[in-house]
Amino acid sequence: MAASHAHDSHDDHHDHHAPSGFMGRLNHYVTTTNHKDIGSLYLWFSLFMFFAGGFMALLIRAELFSPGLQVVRPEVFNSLTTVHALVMIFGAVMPAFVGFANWLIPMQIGAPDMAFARMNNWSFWLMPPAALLLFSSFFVPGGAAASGWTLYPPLVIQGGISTDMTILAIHIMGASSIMGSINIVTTILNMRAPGMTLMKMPLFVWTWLITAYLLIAVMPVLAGAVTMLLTDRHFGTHFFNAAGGGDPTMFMHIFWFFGHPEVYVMILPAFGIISQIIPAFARKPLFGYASMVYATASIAILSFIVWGHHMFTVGMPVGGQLFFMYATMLIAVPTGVKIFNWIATMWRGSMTFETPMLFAVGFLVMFTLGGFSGLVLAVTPVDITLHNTYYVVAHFHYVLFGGAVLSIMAGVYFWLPKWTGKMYDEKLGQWHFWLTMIGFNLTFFVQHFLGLAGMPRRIPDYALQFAEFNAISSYGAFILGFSQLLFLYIVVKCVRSGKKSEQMPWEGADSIEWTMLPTPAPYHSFVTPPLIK
Amino acid sequence: MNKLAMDVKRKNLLTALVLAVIAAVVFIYTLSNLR
Repeated sequence: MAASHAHDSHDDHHDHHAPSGFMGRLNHYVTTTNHKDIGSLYLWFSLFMFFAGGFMALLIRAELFSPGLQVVRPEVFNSLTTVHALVMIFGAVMPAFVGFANWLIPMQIGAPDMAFARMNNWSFWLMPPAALLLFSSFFVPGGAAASGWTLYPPLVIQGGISTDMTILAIHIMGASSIMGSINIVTTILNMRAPGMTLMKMPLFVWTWLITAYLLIAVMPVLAGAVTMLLTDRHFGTHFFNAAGGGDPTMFMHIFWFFGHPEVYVMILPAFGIISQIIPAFARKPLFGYASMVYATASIAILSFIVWGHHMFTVGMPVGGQLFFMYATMLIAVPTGVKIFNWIATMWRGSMTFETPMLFAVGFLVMFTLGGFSGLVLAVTPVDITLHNTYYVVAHFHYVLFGGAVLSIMAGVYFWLPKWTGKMYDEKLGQWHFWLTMIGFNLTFFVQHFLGLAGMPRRIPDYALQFAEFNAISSYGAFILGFSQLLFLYIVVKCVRSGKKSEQMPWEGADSIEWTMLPTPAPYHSFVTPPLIK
Repeated sequence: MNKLAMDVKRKNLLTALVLAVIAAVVFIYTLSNLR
């Protein structure tokens, strides 16, 4: 197997020092095939998109600070909610996890690099043009796509040229995802070091293996859906046009057949990151490794049969509603197994709470809250009243920010020493954590109440009785947004002038990127495969 | 390139081919299963 990579004496003589000059660097990063370079590119790209999407979120919250229209025009508001979602999902969260995958998977399975190094480069460099398409669509006649990220027809059929730009951007990002996933599955299946059996792989690798399969299964469905939108718009087809014998509801089914597994694409790698951080800071092995793997696989399989819970109000037979309701509730079982395992890992451990662990515990609490509100929404009659209200907005931000983004932060703090050989500022890291938690909960917890009281989402104005909670939410959003500048400062400070990290900054870390590779990780990971006992 | 490296390369390409075919089939099925 991976023994083939034992081409010796291939190490330092072309260890790539940072090329000099702007053009030298640009050329290096445009042409690089190194998994660590590409991982860094993904992570920096993701951070940039996180700030761009965050800027849109702050415009939204500024508009919603008080009733009435004051900051943006209503159609711009609709564009902002749409593009904020697309940017955060496809531009920030997914590329961040792909960045982690690139950095960590080869190091964690004892491989020299990804299986397809040049395709890896292409996967990344497709992303900036797609982002450019999305951003520039704000400046074309009619403004950016304003249909919500779900792009439902018939509204989206009436959109301007920005809709086509959005469709093209989704096609490009989808192609990038599919190539990335093929690369990840191939790397994990074929390039493990001798002795690294599947059930010895770190959980981060396991969760990405399952995530990559999910992506290969659902990204083409999204591509198909937006292709049909495109032909409906320009080539006279009537896939979703009732006047021509088509069916707009069909789009919703196809979209959510992609959309729900997509939710798990954004949370399974988070589970993997947390499953590595908690044991390291509890100084105990992960409780229930095998059950974690099976739970991840179960969640992935179940994710294919629950899409209808996004569509309870569209109209479906009672049998269908019951099926989707019970199937959705069933997901709480393997998820509960995971939460239980993480808590059992911490139980009677010798715990310390450095920044990565703080974010991991924060993840645990926030994600569980998001999971519970998900269970509430799974109940069909409850969903029918809460559908399209701020309760849903609160729910999915607890899952996506409280889940995915907090885990990304945790992972960055955890692996920064391995990546850079330097330590971040622990004190500032803790400030970042607490400011993030306070800002996040101020922003989104009150939105549960707004939703229960009936405030609809995606509307720039609201009735007077919602004013107080909206003001609180907006204050929270600005605290949350600006405290992320601290994160940027901490990362840049670490990279530029951080104190030298020890070989094992976290004594409880046990995966092989810590135990078998020097800190910082060398440019080429395992030139000769390690022997895993 | 030695034989083992060639073998891994072949295996990688085969795996990628299978995965790409799955993706293509899903895409075409999505398009063709509709009115």
